[in-house]
Amino acid sequence: MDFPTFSLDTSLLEKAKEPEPEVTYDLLILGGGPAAMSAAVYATRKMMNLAIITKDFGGQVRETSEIENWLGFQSINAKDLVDSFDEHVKSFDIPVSLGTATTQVNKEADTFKVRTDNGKIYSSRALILATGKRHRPLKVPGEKELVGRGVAYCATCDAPLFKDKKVVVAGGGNSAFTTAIDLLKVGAEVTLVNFSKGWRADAALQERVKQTDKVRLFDYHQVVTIEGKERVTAVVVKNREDEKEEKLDTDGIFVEIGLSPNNEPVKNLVKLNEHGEVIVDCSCRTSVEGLFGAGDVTAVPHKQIVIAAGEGAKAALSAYNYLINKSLL
Amino acid sequence: MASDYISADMVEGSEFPFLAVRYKVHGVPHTVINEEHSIVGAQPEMEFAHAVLKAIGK
Amino acid sequence: MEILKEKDREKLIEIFKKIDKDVKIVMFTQEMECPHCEMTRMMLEEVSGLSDKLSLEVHDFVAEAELAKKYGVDKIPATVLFGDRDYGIRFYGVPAGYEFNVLIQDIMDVGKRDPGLSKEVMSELAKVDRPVHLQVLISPT
Repeated sequence: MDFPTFSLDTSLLEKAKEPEPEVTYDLLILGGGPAAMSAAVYATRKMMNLAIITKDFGGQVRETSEIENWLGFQSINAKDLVDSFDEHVKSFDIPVSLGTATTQVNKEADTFKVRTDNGKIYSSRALILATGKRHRPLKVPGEKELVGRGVAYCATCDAPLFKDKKVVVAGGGNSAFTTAIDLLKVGAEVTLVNFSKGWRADAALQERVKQTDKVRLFDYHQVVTIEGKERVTAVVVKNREDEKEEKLDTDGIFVEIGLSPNNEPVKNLVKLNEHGEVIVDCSCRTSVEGLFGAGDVTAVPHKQIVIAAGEGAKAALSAYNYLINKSLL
Repeated sequence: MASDYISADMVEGSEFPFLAVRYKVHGVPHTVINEEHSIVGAQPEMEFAHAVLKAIGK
Repeated sequence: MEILKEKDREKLIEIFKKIDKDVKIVMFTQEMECPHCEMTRMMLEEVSGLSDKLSLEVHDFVAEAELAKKYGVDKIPATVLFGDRDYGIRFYGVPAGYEFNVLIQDIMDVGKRDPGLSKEVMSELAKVDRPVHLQVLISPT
């Protein structure tokens, strides 16, 4: 079995100083993925007084293993890439409220008020929202109750627990197929259940999965309920063609049906598109003056690490210009 | 370290699968208190403290 | 064979400078060492060598069964951290990936003789008046 190496993650060890609620910062960055980290680098170099509020650093990048399209590297391990972003940001000694999520953003005159889930309120003259996306739930009975007890969203984290077990994977795209491959590696018996008609994943991934005989494919099927008392015991699926239901005995279900933008703090503040993503122009401006968006939480057409990093930089520079033009800096 | 009564084991689940089975672990982290009570997921420190007290009937 | 990356070794030397008091790391393995025990032991040997406040003792789970029983160690590889006394901190299995950082953090906490919990949490835990055994099950990511 491949063991992860002994690697130091300094963000877990050295606690950065916390932001102060009494201070009105030039800029607050909400989020900790590539967009947020890139924004932090650019903002610091413009000598802005800034702070970061985030649950953790790394974002969705932490859920992948190898990255082959980050410029400069034919292949780089996701953790190594995130570690290098992290080190760069940490080298600036920026105050960080780590482990906290933002619950609400309000604007009072020219000041943004950011409320976090630990009850604190921080203030700033400009704001960058770079909170990314989270996994979309199926929203079926049994799902919420059995999270962590058979219902999972991240194969990189939880696949090892399903060694030699039966697992259902809900989804038909790349992440569903990648999850299936991760599960096959630990000897699991996989059943893929796709809501839409036709598998959307890249041909190469589909080929790899279909080649084994340990995968059952249920195209055009809907997950109806997830059953089980203390843990998942079965998943009921319905054939969308003939409406026939079937109960699949299983030890778990991985939900890989897409992502939702983490827009809750600004839902009633900025204009969103029909997917709930924050609408931004090419200077990363949102519909609210002084509030900028970057990365996957926005309507930027392609959700990629290099694009998020680029957007983060733009957002920081736009925030700087905004503050200069308003003589707030 | 906070209390002389409390001991804590970090157990790598895939090396000791019988424990994952015994405590019905399907998602990590999964914390078991006194072989009986469970907390799933990473919780704020205070939540753990409360769970510990609840497990010993306080 | 070197287990830790050069830059991690350097970082750890820096971090360990903040340790005030001695930390004794006790590891249980066995003569017919399985790969997990070997990996853990080699890593601990490297880590403990990065500060003179850290010391490592390696014991045989089978040959020194009495000692293992005394520390309540029932599985290997097992890593126990001691400060002035046994705080009840045990790592079972290879502390790799995320857990490696937990191990380092625990070494720091023991070395500073401070668990780093808030006043409020400490006062809640002061109400504990009987043994509490916590087992945190994790997977290697």
